[in-house]
Amino acid sequence: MSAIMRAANRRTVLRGIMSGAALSVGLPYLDIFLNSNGTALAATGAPLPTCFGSWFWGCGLTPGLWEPKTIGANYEMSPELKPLSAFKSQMNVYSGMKVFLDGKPPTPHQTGHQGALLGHVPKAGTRPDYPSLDVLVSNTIGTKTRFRSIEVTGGGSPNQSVSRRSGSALNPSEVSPVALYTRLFGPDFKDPNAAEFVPDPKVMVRKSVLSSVSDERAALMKELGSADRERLDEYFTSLRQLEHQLAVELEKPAPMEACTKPGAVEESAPGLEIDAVVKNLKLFSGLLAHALACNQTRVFNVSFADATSSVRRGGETATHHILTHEEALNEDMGYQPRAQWFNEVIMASLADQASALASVREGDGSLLDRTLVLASSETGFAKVHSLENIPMITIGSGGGRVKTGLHIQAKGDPVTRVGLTLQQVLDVPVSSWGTESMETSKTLSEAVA
Amino acid sequence: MFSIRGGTKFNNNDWLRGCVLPIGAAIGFGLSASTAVAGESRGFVVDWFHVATAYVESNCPDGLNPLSDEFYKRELRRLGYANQEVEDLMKDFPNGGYIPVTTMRGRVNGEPVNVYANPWTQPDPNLTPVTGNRGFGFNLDGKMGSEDFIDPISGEQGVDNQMYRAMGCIQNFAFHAPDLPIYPYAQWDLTRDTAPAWLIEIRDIDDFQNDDDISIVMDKSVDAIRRDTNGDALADMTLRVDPNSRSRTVVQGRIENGVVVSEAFDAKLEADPMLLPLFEFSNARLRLSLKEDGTAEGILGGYQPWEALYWSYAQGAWIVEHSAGIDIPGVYYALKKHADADPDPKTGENKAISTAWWVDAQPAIIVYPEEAQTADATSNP
Amino acid sequence: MREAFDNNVKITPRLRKLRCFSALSVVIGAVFAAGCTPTEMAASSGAVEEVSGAGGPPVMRRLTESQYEQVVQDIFGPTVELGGRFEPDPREGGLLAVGAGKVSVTTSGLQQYDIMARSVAAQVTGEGRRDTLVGCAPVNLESRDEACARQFLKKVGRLLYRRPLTDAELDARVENANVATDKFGNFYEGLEMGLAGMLVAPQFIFRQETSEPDPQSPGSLRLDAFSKASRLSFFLWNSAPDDQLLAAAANGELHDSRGIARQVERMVASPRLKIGVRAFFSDLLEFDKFDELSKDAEIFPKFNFIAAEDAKEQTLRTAVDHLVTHNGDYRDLFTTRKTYLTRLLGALYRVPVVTPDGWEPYEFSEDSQQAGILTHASFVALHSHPGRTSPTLRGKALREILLCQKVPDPPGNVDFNIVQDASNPDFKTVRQRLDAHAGEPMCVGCHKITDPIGLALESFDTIGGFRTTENGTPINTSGELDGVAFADASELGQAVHDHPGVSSCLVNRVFSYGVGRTPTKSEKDWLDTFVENVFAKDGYKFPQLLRRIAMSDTFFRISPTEADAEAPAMASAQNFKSESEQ
Repeated sequence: MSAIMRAANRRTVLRGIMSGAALSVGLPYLDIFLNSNGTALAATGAPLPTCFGSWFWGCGLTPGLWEPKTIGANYEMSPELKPLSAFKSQMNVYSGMKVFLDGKPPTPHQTGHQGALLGHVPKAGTRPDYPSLDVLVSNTIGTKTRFRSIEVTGGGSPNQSVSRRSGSALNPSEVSPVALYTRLFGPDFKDPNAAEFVPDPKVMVRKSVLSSVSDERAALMKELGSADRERLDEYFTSLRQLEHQLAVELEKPAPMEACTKPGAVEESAPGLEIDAVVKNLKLFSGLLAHALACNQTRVFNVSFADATSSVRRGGETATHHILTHEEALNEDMGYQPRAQWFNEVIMASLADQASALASVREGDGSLLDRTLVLASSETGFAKVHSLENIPMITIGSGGGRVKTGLHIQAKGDPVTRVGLTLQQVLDVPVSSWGTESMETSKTLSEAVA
Repeated sequence: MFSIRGGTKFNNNDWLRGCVLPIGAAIGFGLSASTAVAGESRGFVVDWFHVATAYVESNCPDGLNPLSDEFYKRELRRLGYANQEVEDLMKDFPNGGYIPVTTMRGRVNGEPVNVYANPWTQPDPNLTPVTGNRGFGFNLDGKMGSEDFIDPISGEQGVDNQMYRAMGCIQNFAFHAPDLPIYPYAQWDLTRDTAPAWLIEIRDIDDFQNDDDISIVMDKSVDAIRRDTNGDALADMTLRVDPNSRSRTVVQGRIENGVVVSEAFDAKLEADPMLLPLFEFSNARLRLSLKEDGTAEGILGGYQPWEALYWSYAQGAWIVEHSAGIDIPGVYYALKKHADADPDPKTGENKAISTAWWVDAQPAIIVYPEEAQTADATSNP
Repeated sequence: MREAFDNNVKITPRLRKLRCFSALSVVIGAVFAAGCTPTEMAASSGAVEEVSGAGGPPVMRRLTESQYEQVVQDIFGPTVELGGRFEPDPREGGLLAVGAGKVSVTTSGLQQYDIMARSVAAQVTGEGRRDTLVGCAPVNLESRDEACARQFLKKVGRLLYRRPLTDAELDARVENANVATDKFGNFYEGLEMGLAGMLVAPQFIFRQETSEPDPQSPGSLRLDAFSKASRLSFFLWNSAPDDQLLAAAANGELHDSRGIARQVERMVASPRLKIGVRAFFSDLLEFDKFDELSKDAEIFPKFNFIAAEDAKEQTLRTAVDHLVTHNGDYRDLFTTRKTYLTRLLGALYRVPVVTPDGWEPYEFSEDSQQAGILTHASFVALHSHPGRTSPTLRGKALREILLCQKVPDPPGNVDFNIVQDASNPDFKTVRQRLDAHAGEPMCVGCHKITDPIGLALESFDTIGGFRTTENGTPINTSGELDGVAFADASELGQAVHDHPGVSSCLVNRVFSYGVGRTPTKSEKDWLDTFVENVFAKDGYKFPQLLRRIAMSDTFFRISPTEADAEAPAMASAQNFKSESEQ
């Protein structure tokens, strides 16, 4: 069991106790996790960092085909998510949540992802002056790497990106795997294991502050009865654990043993023909996995193509988008079979990304274990640009921070509950997120490990 | 400045006095029983409003009209582009080089003009019309014409609905109500969160099953609907009538076996410009079935100026053409050809066309402006 | 009152034992003279005996989520964002306020406190706020300014720790700021770390009460002055003491009954009392459970997350309006038809709400069943299943929350099939289903306690909508509450109103809420006589109840703890001597 997983289990135990009735149960000292110097964790170096990815596609999924039939754990994989079956126990499906307009007119194919990823629907004709979820996460976990984040798209245009620092600053997507290869692994590549380690002064100060609070233990303890003393002791145990985590951060991180420089990639023609899109994204997935394994970045954003999903099959002019609007519902099937075909291809491409992360082995686990990927779209029913029931999926647990294997349904709730929850588990300082009716402080607690 | 019609006025005190059982207050329990308090009223808000389509294969035996990629190629070839040129122009469909060309596909003296603004400047593509006899609506002219339909729900014969005849074989209209035809669905769905809601009140009900003397009031609200967790209009919500609206229509009617049927009326309904700024109906009828769960559904049909209907599609120009597959000049010619009322005194051409619209309504509490004042909410804790 | 701080009495076990038997009777009538209206004077003219033995132990309470938010807002302004989430506050003895005295902080919980501490500290010392909040400026932005750091941390530390900092505590935080300033080369970034240290410290997160010998009652213990200030403040305002209250603690006012009365009158008259009353009812009525409440959206599409928020707010507004604004009889909360509604709630209850956004006062009609807070969605929806009602849950909630009675949990091996199957054609109403279920001997005992009262509320569906039938069958809402028969929900409200348990339960809960623990035997005895002799005579006025309890000697009386026997300096207050006093 990795150190990260152990820490996570420890959290689970505590949480279980706190929420249960056995409040007076004396908690075991955290010393069981530490050796006599409190350095058991440090002996193997700091745990590998947590990574976050967003994976966006346009035109949603097929209502009725993508939502699992049952809620909670052990849900049955839905037909449209079948390509992700291998990751069922490592992923969560979120259904029923919606984007609120609050009287603002919607912009088809834009409003949905603005709601889900910015937590905000801009007024007509204005730019959304809010950073996207990945930027908020990257502000917390992505500031120490060579790249704060990497954006890619399979659709061939740098504008195909849903990552933005503010209303005017779109983070443009890389469209060429060759160009990304050069950016990551060209002459400027920094071998994480060769780099000199400089402890973060901010962490040093934080640790010294916590230590000085720790020093007050004796003075505070002596005034208490034994039950309260036990409780305060528990606080100080938690404090020592926190100090210890910071101490670990001040040590040279564990070698990134899984870091290897990938072989050069060949140029692949960009475009909106779906085979080309999928092929490009597969190349990107591999490069992104290497980039995370080598700590070049901790945050990435993938746009399958444009938000309108103008991808098409070779030899056909009708795009995914056009089909969602124009193709008749097959009366027997109850959906649009030609449009639906694209959804399966897109989910298979998402599975490619997950597989690329899972294939990087790190100790007992994989890179996917310490990554949290949020896959989301902009509509619940592309035919009518519905803003209800926006499909959202997470894959990976972010190093045990998220419980997995769940179908979470929150019908009629704002879609921002997912974004809030992910920020909170990734230590972004946020207690509520979103604007107007989408402002929420309701964490999806069932997903929090 | 609002009150419940028929109720005690709201006082400008801290508390509303003598609050009445409002319209809709008894919805959900006891509607099925035909007992009504004498002179009872029921309020509704329109949840969905869309062209009432009744697609069955026999309505379009020759198949459906082509989608935009196909009819654009047809038009480009008509304009004289070679096959390879057509393929090149259409290469990046729905984006790409064809857009300026197909937009300017009208010709006046050989010069390109915008075809959506001037639909008569391209030849009639002869959209395939509905040739079957299933169609929603009303027998507006009182005659049994050869082009008339039989309403699939009410069974009414001699139904006049030439708009459906003109447009019913367009792929995105090939649905059978209550299924929502896609383009009209999207149009309504995009506007209903922000557009002032439409209100219908059935008054003077003595018997919910059969009552030969009721009145029906249609109004526009100043409020929009709010959605429930299923995405429908929230039931039993209060909506205020717009005192400055031109939409108010009052008409007598009756209830037959739980179905409200109006007498003929003329009406103007203001709507979101994205849909149609003003629905003008003449010689119209409303049929509304009151359901046990408190909701209502039915048909509003009448004669409408067909040019206004044309513009509701033409304003979307190429976006509507390519994403909804609606051949806009084709719609122009089809509506013009099938128009069946209000002949122009000079040309003799009909200016109006018979139509039928599907109405889904949720129970609502309607408050009227002229009768009272708003509650004083200043003393909130 | 210097002697209170300097007192360093070692309590021997023998002394403790003696004190346990010493009963103290105090006439408190005179205490009320300061701020009583004529009617209140009449009520309090009969002297009230405090039948007080030793009190309970001092309590160390973790700040509840709402207290933490309120404190930060009060000290740093309403726009400061916390930037973190809280561990769930556990409920004990019916209250989160009591659970707070049993709980500690886990590692993940402390991580969140740490995140919030740094987030709040960064905002307070950030460019937008530092000029107004810090109160001094460094001589040189890039280097340490000990005087300014000390001035700020001392000022803000007193508010956060709710007492003056000890020299050692202040030195440590100033040192944090200095070291950080050196490291970052920026005074405010340094100050940020000093403040963050305070916000993550147990002195802030926990309300640690300390006791001292009571010089007016030799052998007895009392809370020290700053602990008294906190008790009063969190009790009445759900927040930390303000500057005036801390000053009163420092100058000994709070060890004097007139001084206490002055402060209590000031606090009860403050608009912040409404915040405190909201917090109490939010706790009492278990509104924290709304966070986990969900309803079957297919069957009840009206009930979204906004409606849930509104439902909670409706009852809190009703309570504050009735009890504080109109100084109404507490028992009338169970019968009043006056309330506040939003449009969404109007839709839920099927009544008109003209105001498009926000709240408007509303009074249900005389013949409606909607009477009293038991008929609010906040009660009937909170105590229901997602897809169906539960007379058992509603009855249990009524007994446990409002009458302070304990209803046993069901045994483990119960067959609930009959109760849960709402589609069984033989049992159309829940009454029929429960009758069939409770026919089983092992079930009948408990269901007799809960169901007859819960069934009266069957005219409200799972989300609070009114109904007269279930599956087409008329609902029978009659029943009896401890011998009082009723026909429907509004009569149930009247029966609850008239039930003697409802006022004694409230008084017990209010006291527990204030002291952070369930009352001791002797406190309970006192509270029982208090209900009859004082609360009833006061006309069951809630602010008056708060005033009486806050001014009572019993509220501050302390029994010795084990630590008192062991610790050499059981009264640690001498450490908290404020510098201004020296």
